[in-house]
Amino acid sequence: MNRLLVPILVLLLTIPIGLRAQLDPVSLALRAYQSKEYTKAQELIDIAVADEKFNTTARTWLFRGYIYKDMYKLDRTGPNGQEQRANAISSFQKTMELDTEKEFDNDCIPSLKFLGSTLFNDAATALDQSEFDEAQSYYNDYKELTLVTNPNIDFSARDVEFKLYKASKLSLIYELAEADTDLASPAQELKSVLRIDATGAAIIKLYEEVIALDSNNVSANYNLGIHYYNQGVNMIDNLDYELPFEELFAVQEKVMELFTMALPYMLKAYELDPTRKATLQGLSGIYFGLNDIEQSEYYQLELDKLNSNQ
Amino acid sequence: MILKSQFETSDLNYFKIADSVIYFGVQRSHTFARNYNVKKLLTIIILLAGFAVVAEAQSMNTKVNPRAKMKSLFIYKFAQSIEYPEAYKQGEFVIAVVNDDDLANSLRSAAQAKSINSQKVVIKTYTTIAEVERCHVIYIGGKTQAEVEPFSKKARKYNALIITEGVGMIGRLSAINFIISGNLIKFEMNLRIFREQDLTVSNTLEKLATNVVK
Repeated sequence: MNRLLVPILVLLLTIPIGLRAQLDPVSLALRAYQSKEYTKAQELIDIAVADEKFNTTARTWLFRGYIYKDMYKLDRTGPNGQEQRANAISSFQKTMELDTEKEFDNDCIPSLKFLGSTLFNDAATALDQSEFDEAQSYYNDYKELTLVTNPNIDFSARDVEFKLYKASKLSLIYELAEADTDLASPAQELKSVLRIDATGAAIIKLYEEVIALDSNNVSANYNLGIHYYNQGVNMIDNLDYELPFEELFAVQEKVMELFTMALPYMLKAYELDPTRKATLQGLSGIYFGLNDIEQSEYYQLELDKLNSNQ
Repeated sequence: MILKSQFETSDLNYFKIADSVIYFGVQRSHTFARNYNVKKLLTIIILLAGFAVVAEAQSMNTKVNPRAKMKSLFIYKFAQSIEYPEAYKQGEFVIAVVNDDDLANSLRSAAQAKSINSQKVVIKTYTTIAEVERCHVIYIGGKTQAEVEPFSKKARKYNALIITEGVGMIGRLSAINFIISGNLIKFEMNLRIFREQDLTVSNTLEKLATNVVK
């Protein structure tokens, strides 16, 4: 950056005043940007924002925002992607702060919305990669930024999506770990790293939060029902044949408790969508586990009817 | 505006859950993927997320039949609590199952690792009365007494512990009968049949039974 500072200053001092405006760092940055010399544009615009002559002008920050935004778009996953996005966001925000006439709102708001959407997508990507803390951080940033462009936004629907997605990802890890009880297994290690306890309390909490926000959410009701059901089944599956008789009865009671907890959520999912096959299978399984064969067969029959109609 | 052409509209990808997960993220470094195995697992998880396009994000455990597993646990405990005649204390310990494949499979998977009274456990399944032969335990599935009785009658020729499930079975068809009480699998006993089969049962088992026919 410094290597450019001296030639620019020399140029500014030696050229006629009329030309100076065109050769100030902002103008030079703009020219570099237009010719897609992004690195040069970035260096020049950073010189400009370090200079009191330029850094109180909304336009300077707007250009900086665009330069960093485009650099980010070219290299989203590169080592500087995050920093470039952060610089773009702060530049657009600074533009809006300085732009008392709201001349640049039509530029800043869509740009910030776009950058917000990339934060949202990164949250999803992080969840896909089981990086849950990072995902939460991206999601928090997305919400914070969205509030800038839309202060009255209601995040309930987004929160439902995010929590549900997060819960389903955690569930997947939980189930893999339940299927592989070897403590040295990758699934167990991941479960431990993510601090998922034996009952999956964090998963249950997320589903409950989703249901609190949207009681008619079929997926949350179904998934929570399945979580409790699977927990009961896994408990039985892991029982040792050497277990004393008395303990066998105690475990059976605990398992029935879990199946009983699963039932209202699965019934709710059924109420919301009676033709959903997975729910019918879930209800048949839960009732079977509860030793209510009549009800189990009823839902199995419903499922068979659906299958035969297709 | 000079930079207008550089603006692009939002390409927000919505989260989709459960049976229609559509989001596929870009690979990034994993901060906690400390070793190859964990990375491999993460790959599996990402692939599984892909399968969620057509399936529930959280899938039901259908590999285990909880009733069958619970009954198989009970049956092993019953077998361990019974004193057989001397002739039955040698050779293989045979558990036969009629009309319940899931139970047979559950018993079979346990038999690979377990022995009863130091005897190797073998699981057999009978579909006809003619197949019924000398065994230590026979579980006879069936909803009606008429369905169960012929198997029970044949099994009475041997010193077999006869187990059934259902209302009214304990009177004359089996020594132990599974019943459902308050959603729980429990059992009742017929001591007369134990005696007739020359089987000695432990007091513990008797105490745990819901109903004991003397």
